[in-house]
Amino acid sequence: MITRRGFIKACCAASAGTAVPGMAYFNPGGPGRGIGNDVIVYLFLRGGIDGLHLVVPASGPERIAYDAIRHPGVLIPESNLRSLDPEGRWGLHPRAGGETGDGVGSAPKWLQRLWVQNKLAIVQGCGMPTALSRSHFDAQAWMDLGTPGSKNTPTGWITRFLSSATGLPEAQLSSVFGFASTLPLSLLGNNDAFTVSRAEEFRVDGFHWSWNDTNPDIPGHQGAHTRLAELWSQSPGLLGDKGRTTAEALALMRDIEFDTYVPDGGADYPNDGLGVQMQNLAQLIKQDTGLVAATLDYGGWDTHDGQGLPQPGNAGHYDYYGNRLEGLARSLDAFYTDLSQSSQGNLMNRVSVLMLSEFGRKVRGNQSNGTDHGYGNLMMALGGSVNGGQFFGDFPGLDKASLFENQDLAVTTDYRQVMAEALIKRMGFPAADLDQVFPALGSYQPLGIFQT
Amino acid sequence: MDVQLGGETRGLRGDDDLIFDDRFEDTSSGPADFAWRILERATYGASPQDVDAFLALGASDETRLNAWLDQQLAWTTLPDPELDARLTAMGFSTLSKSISQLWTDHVRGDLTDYPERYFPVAETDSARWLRALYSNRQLYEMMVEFWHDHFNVAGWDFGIAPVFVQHDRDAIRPEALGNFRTLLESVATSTAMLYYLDNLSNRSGGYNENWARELLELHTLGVDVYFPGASHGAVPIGDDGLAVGYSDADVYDVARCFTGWTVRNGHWQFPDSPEYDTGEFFYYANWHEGGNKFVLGSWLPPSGQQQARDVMDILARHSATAQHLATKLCRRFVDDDPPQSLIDSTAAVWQSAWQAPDQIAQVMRHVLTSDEFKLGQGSKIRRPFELIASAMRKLDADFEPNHFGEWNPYSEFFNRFQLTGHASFRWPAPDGYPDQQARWTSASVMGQTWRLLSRLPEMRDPTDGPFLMKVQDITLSAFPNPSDRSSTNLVGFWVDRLLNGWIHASRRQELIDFLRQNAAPDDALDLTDGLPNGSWAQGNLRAHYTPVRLRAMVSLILMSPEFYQR
Repeated sequence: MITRRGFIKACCAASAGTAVPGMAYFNPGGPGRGIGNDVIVYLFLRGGIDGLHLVVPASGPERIAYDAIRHPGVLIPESNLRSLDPEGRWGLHPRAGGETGDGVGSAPKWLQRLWVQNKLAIVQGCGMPTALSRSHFDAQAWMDLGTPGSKNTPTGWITRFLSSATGLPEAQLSSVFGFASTLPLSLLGNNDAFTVSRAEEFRVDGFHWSWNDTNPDIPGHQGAHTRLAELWSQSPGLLGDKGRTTAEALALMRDIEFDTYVPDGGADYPNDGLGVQMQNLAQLIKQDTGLVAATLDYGGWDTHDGQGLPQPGNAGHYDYYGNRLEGLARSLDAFYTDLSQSSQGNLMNRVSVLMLSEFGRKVRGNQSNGTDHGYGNLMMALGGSVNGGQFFGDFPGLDKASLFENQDLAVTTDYRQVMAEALIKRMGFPAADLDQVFPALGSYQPLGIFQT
Repeated sequence: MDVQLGGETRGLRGDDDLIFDDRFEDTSSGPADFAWRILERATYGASPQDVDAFLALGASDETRLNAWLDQQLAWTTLPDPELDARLTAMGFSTLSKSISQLWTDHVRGDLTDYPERYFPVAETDSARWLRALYSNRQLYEMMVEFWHDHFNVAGWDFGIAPVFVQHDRDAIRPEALGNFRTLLESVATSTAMLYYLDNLSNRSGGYNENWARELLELHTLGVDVYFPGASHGAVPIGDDGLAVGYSDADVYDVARCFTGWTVRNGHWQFPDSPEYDTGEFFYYANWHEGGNKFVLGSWLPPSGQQQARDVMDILARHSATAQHLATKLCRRFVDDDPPQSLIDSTAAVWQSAWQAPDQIAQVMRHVLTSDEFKLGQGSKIRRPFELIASAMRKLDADFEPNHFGEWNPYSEFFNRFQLTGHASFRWPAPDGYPDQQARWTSASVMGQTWRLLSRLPEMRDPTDGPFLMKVQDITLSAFPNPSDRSSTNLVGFWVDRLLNGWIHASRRQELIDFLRQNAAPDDALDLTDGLPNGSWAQGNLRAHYTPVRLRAMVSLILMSPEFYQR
């Protein structure tokens, strides 16, 4: 701790010898540098999605065990599932591939379409085999930090990936966008991370019009917002860093027309939080600002009560889980369409979306037609370079001997192995440095989810 | 205190401060500086009137602080005429309704659609702003906010919004400076909480653990003493005979203790009678799971509703609860990473007073008379609510926060404020709004806060009505002589009023340069020309919309690093 007098002295000394940090204005209309890098998108399904409600055993011994253990209030009949494999072993919640009024045999939409087109992969039995917590906050923190069992880690896993990777493109805004209203833990410790909830509302626009924008017709006139960078130029510590990051980001984002964006390929983003954020992300990827990672959250999965059951074909039926799932599926479908049909080429070949949740839910279900916190869960990967239309990992099994603590799906794949494979195969990260991102992971064991 | 979890020893906090590696320390020692330091951190912002009132309380810093705490901690006897008048003037319709009346009017009755369903939470939010801005009971209102964060419920949830008034008024506010055990039970029986954490459907034969888990993890013992795993007996027993922490097995048994704690919501299993559809808490014995429960190392014999009360007794006197709450209170009022010695001494007060009706007031007196509190400053940043409230208090805002109705400046205010990520009662998760700097300094939060701050001095009633904040009025009355209205003087005045004069020299110069434009720093500016906005003066920027420029300059002070720190 230094004294006020010492602080001011230090600042004055610094200002005497140091120029004001330059503002590197991004010019969206300028010559593009070409999409030269991959982007990893970390989409966290907050609240603990019931993976056994999304990808459901449809026949065979797992179905028998499922029928035996599952409370009727959360049990989806085989006839209400969309088929995922020719053998009929696994079924998909119908709202991942169609609207309420669509029967299970109707043409696949959204996630089911992407599965059929081999762009979506499902990894069974994922989670944290080395640590157990049924607390949302612990489990999310462990996953976001990349250190199961410890939430005192000062940096998030994406922060460590970015700081230990080499050869990343020079970022004009930031290498990583966290689409959230507060700093995601996966980005903890990254002072350059950009966090924004809605891109087009990110501007200081409230001054009286006479000083709100710079008026080029009046010599010397500058909008009040242009003073922000200077206002924060002499401020120590992380607060100062954050203020400067904010001022620079405001200046850069002011030049991008988010509100008039037209997606490619007729992509139809839902007008909700995730839909808008994924559209913003697609636009930023097309702008080629050097973005290499993004985080998004889609919550509402803590379905202790009234989880919901689908009735495909019944347009008026209310199904909470199905509604959430359709929102997710529509956003991902729009994102895929928009980027894969870009005039700049199929940009989805360089974009990988990883989806995960902090834990699965109890297989049995509860008396409230809901499910309580459990353990193992599925993960999903979406992208043009994903070996889609396939299952990966070993399904742990629903028979009593296979369940974890007699109640939960077990964990057979460490979620970090899926992340690691994406980093190594798609982001060019050296396998030898993996422990810098995921300490104590042990040996790298790729499942073959991503193409190199 | 360190705990052993998963083979790893964890301290309860990190010792290194990642945020303020160049923290400033205000070593100025005048009486007004001391008053400023106290009020900036124990209230929603030190207005000049607040500082004057504090200075009138005695002859020394210590005397004044103690007298101020005497007033603030005895909040029920502290008169609050301005707030009372403003609350009355707002004409709130839901804040005095009983829970059964809220249920009748806003859940079951004709008023069950938007926006009527949201009136109760919206009016609670409006009242919250008024209390933060105008109440004399500032420390009490800070504590109400603390407990709302600690016992968070998602107030704008469709099912919770209509009954939220009861949660605020009957569960949180009565014991905000009272007794934690009493507070705990009032929260456990709050209709909003019973909905939010699902205990209303927690019943025999199919218990729902949601409330029980958060009760242990967030509300009392804290996750630092969570021993993952579903077997009993794995947690060591401490000197007090209680298990030092809890496992999943404890969560399950606590959930069983709370079976039957539910809401009269007309559930089909209840008797078919109107008295079972009133929205009130009730204990439904048919849903209670009988039998012994094993909680924190002890068997609890079957005792019906009493069993969950026994659990709350254990939790309220547990040393881990004392540590957890002491840490959070010290974090709120002193430092993101408070010193362990202060936490320990605070926890000792907490635990020794656990049955006292003024337990929390005793704890707060301890924290706020500690050297760590009295000598520190700038170690916390203002979260958006505190930042905006502080700005309004120091700018004599005349605020009538109305969520609904015709277009008014307040709907724009609430829209912009919500984007800061700190809107009242909107945090979705049970852990409440975070209280550490890293979560509030993202580009999104800061950018959206600046966006609102750029607008705030411009907000006014439609058609040239009075401004929400009184920049012009305050300035003109401070500088009755027009020749004194130089850029240097004006910036100096506002920096004193908003920051107690403390600002980096380069920033002061930047503010002067913006305000003066092509005038000399000591040239008087014409603040009355073309009131209230100034006039078009192309080619002579010193005269270009000068009153507006003054308001923008005030906004820029509010966006400065110094205004973030408290």
